[in-house]
Amino acid sequence: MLRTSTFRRVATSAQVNNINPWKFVEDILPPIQIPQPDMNQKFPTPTGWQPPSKDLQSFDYPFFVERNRFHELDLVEEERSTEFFDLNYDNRYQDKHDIALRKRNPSDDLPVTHLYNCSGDIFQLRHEICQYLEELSGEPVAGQADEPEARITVTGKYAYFIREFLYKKGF
Amino acid sequence: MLKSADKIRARLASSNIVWTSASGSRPGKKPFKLDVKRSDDLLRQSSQSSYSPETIPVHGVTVLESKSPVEDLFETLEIDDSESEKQTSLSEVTKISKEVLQEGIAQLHPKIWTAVVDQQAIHETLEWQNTYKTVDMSFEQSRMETGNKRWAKPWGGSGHGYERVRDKTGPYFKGGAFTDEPRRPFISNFHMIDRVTRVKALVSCLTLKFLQGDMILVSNLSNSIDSISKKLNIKREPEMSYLVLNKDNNYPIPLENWIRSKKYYNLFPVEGLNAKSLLKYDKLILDLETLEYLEKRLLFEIERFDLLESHDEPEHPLLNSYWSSIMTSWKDEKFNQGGYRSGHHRFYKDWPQSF
Repeated sequence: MLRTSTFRRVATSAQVNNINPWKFVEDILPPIQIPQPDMNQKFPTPTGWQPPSKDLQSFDYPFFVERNRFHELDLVEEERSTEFFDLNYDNRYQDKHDIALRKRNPSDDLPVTHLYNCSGDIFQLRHEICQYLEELSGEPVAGQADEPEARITVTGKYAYFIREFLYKKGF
Repeated sequence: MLKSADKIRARLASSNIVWTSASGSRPGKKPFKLDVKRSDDLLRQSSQSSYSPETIPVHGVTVLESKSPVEDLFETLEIDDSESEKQTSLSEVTKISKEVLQEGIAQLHPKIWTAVVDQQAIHETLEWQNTYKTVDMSFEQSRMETGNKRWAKPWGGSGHGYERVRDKTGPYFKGGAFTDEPRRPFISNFHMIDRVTRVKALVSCLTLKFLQGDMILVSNLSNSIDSISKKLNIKREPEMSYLVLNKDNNYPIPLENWIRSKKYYNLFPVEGLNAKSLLKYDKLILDLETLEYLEKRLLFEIERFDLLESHDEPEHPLLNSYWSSIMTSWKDEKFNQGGYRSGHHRFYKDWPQSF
């Protein structure tokens, strides 16, 4: 007896092949291209955002701070405690680094602020930022200028104040 | 003529100098006074410093119709010269004179052409380019493939202090005791590197090409490339290799036919641009159309935001052993690191319609 009747037929119609299994996910995700901000509004915006000033070239600073792809000044506050691997959900798997993180002395953690995308005379910029922050806070502020990484690191959590300072300058 | 050691010692002792310079002290030389407030003021105030601050570049792609002479090429970073050929044919003379002139000025996007050069990214990308296509096909030799003579007695019988053996293939020998089927499946070294690293490397290489004066912008990709590049080759260096970029695989036919005969000119589509080729070839030749297309593609890659990639998916700690168990643990785990993470879907719906 031939077995042709028991073979399962593979559907090849256009309806079946047009199924997009990721359709519902695609509808939720945001677009890949970041939109340009609306420049026809009053600045600073209610959130406090400001675009770089139009006369920035005429100021002729020796340094320059670019904006990141989200049109913001790239300021990141960091403390060692934010580096944890999430062991809340699964603590069976831990390596020596997780154990070292748990066993460290948290009073040795240093709160620190990073400013990225700095170019030009970074040392001058670091000096100015440190001067401004020392005047504000009254306590000594140490700064690190990393030229190949295009980054300035400052001890203390001064993201808001650095942003204010740079907005005043026009970046 | 060496001065005697006594004289030098006497001179040092009398004038109380701890160390002397090679040139010594000349009568007209004045001491260099510094008003040092910070440690880096030294660099800033010294006249020998060649450190110049970077100007703020403006981005946009415009071609001006002005015909200005070729001077002040390095005044500002954003100006680059595009040169073209001009044919001046005199009506009643058979000779046609061709001149290479600057046709205008083009502006380059600073994020691509004056980006921060990331050497770490370049190194990683080059390593990846050299190894990701390789396949480990090494195998263990069988007895017949060792090259040792069959039944070649290493030492004849007794009397030498060693055991009696017929050949050096037994388990007691280092490199011995192999089976008849010592083969194993090939292990592929395929791995992928972060897109960010690869883009940074590309952008760094393009920056190097521009800032080192190895970029040539041309109004028309055609036979005129030859005369333009020769004119720009001021030092008359022989064997200069050129990377001619075109937008697509569909090159203009006369250009393709001309370049087939040339040894040092190489045609690339923009998809074929890579860090290794950029560093290998001496000069980079671009068309204005190609420049626009290249900038568009690179800016898309630099400024894109994938929500799925924005948060770290903590990799399961057992993934490494999972990959090595699939690939069999013949070799060290480092060969199996970075097994390609499949299951990433690219959502093409919101990509631009055309680049």
